[in-house]
Amino acid sequence: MHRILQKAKEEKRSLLEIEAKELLREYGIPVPNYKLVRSKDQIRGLSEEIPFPIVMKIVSPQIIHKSESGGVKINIKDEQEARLAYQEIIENVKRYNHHARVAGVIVYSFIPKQTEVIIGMMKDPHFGPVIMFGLGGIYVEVLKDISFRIIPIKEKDAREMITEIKGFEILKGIRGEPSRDIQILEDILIKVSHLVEENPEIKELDLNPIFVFEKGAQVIDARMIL
Amino acid sequence: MKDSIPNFFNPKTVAIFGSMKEGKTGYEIVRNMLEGGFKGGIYPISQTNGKILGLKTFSDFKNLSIDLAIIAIPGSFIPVLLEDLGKQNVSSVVIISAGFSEVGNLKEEEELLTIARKYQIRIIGPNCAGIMNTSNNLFASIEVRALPGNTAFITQSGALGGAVLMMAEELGFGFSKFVSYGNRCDVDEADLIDYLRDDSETRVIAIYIEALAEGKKFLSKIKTTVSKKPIIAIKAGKFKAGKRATSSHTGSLAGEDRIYEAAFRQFGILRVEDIEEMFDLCRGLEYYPRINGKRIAIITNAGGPAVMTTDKLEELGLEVPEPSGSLIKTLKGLLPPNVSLKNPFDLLAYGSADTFTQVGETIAPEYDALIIIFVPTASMDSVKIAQAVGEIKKKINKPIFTSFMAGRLVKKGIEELKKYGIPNYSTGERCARVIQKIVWHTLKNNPK
Repeated sequence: MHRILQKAKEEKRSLLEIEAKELLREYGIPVPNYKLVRSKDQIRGLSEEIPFPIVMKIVSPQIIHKSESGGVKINIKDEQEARLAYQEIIENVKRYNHHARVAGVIVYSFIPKQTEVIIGMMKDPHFGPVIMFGLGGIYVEVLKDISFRIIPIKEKDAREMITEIKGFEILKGIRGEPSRDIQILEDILIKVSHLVEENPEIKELDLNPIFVFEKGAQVIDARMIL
Repeated sequence: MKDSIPNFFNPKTVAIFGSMKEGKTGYEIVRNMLEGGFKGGIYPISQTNGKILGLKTFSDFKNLSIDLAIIAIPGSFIPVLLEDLGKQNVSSVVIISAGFSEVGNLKEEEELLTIARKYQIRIIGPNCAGIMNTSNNLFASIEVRALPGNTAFITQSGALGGAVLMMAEELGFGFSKFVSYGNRCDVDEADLIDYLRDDSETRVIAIYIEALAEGKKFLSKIKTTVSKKPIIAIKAGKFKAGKRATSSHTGSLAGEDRIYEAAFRQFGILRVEDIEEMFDLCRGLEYYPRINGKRIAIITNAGGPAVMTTDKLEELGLEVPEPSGSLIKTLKGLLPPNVSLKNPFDLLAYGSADTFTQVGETIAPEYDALIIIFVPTASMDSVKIAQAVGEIKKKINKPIFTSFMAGRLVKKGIEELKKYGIPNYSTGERCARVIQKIVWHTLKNNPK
């Protein structure tokens, strides 16, 4: 068993965002450079590692709904602002749930909103692990414009998953917009399939959102449930 | 374990356990076996020695050699009977009797399986309608006897199976094998598909499923079958609410039917919506196991139906492309001057039998499949047109589908088409749906 999963399992919890992202990175799935900040003092010199503006998010096994708890601050311009934001996040979270154990705050460079997609995995009682793909936001929430395949998937399956959703036109670029990087989405789907096969302890997984650019993609938020 | 699945379908002797009073299940099975012309031994087992339907009944079966046992006695007596059959080395048992897991009697069903394992017996059922093999007149079932054919139909629901057999009879559609597998305490849909994959009588497999026993096992059998023969599935229970506990976004979006849909698509199973579409597709696939591409030509003598067919083809992602320049030139030489040289090829009132043949043969090389729509006029004999279409089929190596519209005016023509092995559908749209599925099957499971 992977050491990250082993540790979480021993502590009877799901993965923290930083752990999930570390695992993704090991499988070659692109995540923005991030750092765990454990105190206000650690913000000094942060801009040399993580270019500003930045996003700051609470890391706590007890906090699943990070925004709702007041544990997320975005578009933070400098270290001065970052120190204030850190303080606020900790206070908000403690007020939201005073039992919450805080591991720190994850910081990464702020990326302006892009075309969003979601990749997920759940275990079906008949077919075992199943992978999902869809466009983020209302496309998933309201229109349920998503596709599924049984894991493991091959390249052809990954391609079909992407092309069979109605929103595929958006990825190809509408109204003169350039096409999004479809190849990298195929690549991420295959890598998620591998990750799930090799780590059966993961029961459910949400990579939501994933930002897709003309070239490349970044997994902005990741949840893995054991 | 003895491989007794083939044995279910090729027994030399069949013993039937059940009430042998006229109208009762045991009696009806014996009657079906006899009237169906089974050539092997038929042993009605009854409490008293006597005769039914001219056959001797047996109260003691200890000295009989039994290849296949059909059981339709009350459930509580079955375990003892199974033990006896096991000791006699009977390896294939069909249990028609109900009253097991379908009504919550899980323990009783588990007991059957335990005994079966002990003696290496394979069980089909319980709570099923029996099995048929038309190639040797085995009709071990209470349902109407299937006509011979090349489609194997396996069904979880016995009642639906019976209805399908009756509908097929009316259509003149036949089956190679019929299996109602009921509660599938032992033999399940995956085992049956595994057997049918290599069954030389079966060209198409059709299955009615409510829920699979083991999804992964099923898919692994599918994988090795779909490139050999197409599998058509009806999956009922579309809107059954998902009951799984989930805390992820993905889990909340993954309804049961969406997962089945995805699995079927991924593994190359042709899903159909209803029985009617299942028959349509079975008929198409029996004649044409593959269509190599999406370019479809329509030849018609009626404008409206051709327009509707074009719409349906395009809606389904198929193409209705125009003929090439050189083909247009050739056609000009063949056709009367005011006939349009476009796809659909509308022959108007000039659509005589000869014109159909000429146009069909000429355009075939540029297309992957042909739809021929024919609406009779007062002077036209549908049989002649059917023969003309039959001639086209003999000369070109491309699938031809027809829609002879409609009713009694074309009845004889449709009979004639059957002789040439040409599937006819009441509308061009139905042709389109069948073609789309065969194209998908070809590209997915048997690409060149």
